Amino acid sequence: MDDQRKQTIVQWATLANQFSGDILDLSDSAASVLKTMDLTSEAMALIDPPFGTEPSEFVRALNELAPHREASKING
Amino acid sequence: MGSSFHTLTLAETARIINSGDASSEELTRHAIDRLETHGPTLNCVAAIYAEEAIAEAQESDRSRMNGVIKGPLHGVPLAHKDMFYRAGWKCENGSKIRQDFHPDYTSTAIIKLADAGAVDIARLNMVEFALGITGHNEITGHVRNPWNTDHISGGSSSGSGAAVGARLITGSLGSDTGGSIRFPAACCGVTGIKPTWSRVSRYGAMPLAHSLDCVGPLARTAEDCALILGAIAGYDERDQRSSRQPVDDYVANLENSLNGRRIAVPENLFYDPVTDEIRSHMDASLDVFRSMGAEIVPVSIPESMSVTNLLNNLITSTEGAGFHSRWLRERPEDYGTPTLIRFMTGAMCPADRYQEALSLRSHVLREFVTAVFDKADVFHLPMMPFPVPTIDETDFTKNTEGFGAFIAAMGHCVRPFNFTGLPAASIPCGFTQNGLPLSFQLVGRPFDEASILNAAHLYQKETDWVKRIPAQFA
Repeated sequence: MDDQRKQTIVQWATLANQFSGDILDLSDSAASVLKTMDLTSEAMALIDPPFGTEPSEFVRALNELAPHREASKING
Repeated sequence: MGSSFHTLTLAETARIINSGDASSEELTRHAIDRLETHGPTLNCVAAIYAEEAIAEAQESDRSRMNGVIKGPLHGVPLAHKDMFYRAGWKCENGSKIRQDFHPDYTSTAIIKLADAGAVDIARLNMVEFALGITGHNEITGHVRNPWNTDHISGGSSSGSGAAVGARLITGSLGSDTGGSIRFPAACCGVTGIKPTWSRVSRYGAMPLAHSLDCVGPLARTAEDCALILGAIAGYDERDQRSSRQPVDDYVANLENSLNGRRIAVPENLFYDPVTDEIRSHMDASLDVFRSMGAEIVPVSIPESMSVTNLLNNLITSTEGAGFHSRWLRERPEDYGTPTLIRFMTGAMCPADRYQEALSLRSHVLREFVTAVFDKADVFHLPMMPFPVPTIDETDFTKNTEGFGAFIAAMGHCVRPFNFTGLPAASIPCGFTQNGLPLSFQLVGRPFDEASILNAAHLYQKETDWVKRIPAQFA
């Protein structure tokens, strides 16, 4: 991840802290987001899904991977 | 028998109503009495609707006397997590923000339970907006564990887990976005199943993260869960993302023999943070399956599964921040601190990373199913990697340092099945040295809840873990 994007998140967290006063400290949250973003990048590099993969692919996968049914075992 | 109604399972309760050995009114009054007596000790009850419930039970009894049985849950009193909308009832979601929310429609899951004959008697406490797995709630108070009230109940269906665990009620609906059915089930010593994503309609259920949210039951036994899940599963035109896959007859499949069936266990990844004590209980549970003729098959878990715990968090907090965007801007002071921080974390996540996390799901799912279910019928692994901790030692406001790592470890074996959408159940399998229950998980192919409930049911017939009752609530 580039430094500019990291800096943007840290600035966002700092700004939110100023607005929310004593309610919360978002420095840990910013660190957590940065870590998860890096992890997402690594996973994308590892798996390299084809361009255009979208949530409907997930529904398709669930349906395709379901076991075949025997009619007698189906409710109703 | 009246004073010991609470020792019955949901299935046994349904049978004695059906046979006329007890009335729905007697059982409903007994459940209300136990919720009123013990609910405050556990802080598990949001509201009881005694008058309405008794009237409904009386109607069930009249109907049965006239030979009309509505369905397999006829006359059975149930109570649910305070996130299912009922027209005319308040629905607070464990929050201050929604303390005056009165939905004007009823959720599909609640309607389906009523169609199956269940009597709805109470709303049960939950983690604020279902965002948390320990059971802590700064707004409504922490729900307590019936086996030891110093310990966590697990969350976010915390009131459901505690109420079923203490035998105040025989079954309850919960929701699971990152373990919120399975954690309270495991902590409180009951059975809980997160069905396949889209198996049960979410219409009228408070949303947390639409890509992950699942509605499902917590109850004493797998048979009880089969009865509830059978009543609520299936396509719903009011939730266009609910699945049209056929629904198995879960109860009819419970007694299928395990002889020759293959149960996969992980060779890598899932046991990494697991303590020796938990591991020994896992081994003992596998011995029970072996004794029933099942074959235990070690499988190698694809590397891609290692990212799913954290990516599930990313999707949850990002989608959650979207739902809460207006309240986060206008009423931040009305959230509990942990809830606010978790939603604000989601608000920081750029849309491109969120989209990437979603796009990885189908690939991770296909890799995992191929690696595991080409070799086995169900997958067995731990639930929590350590014994149930105390409320104090997991209080975010007192232990901020290392809290993120603790939550990541707690979710290590659980959240991957939210990310992949696979059905997964938490099955009690003993007690750790601190006297708290522990569980293993069974995971199945998409929409194969029947195989999970079948294996869990036969395991529960061979063991007595789900028959035990916390001494304080016996």
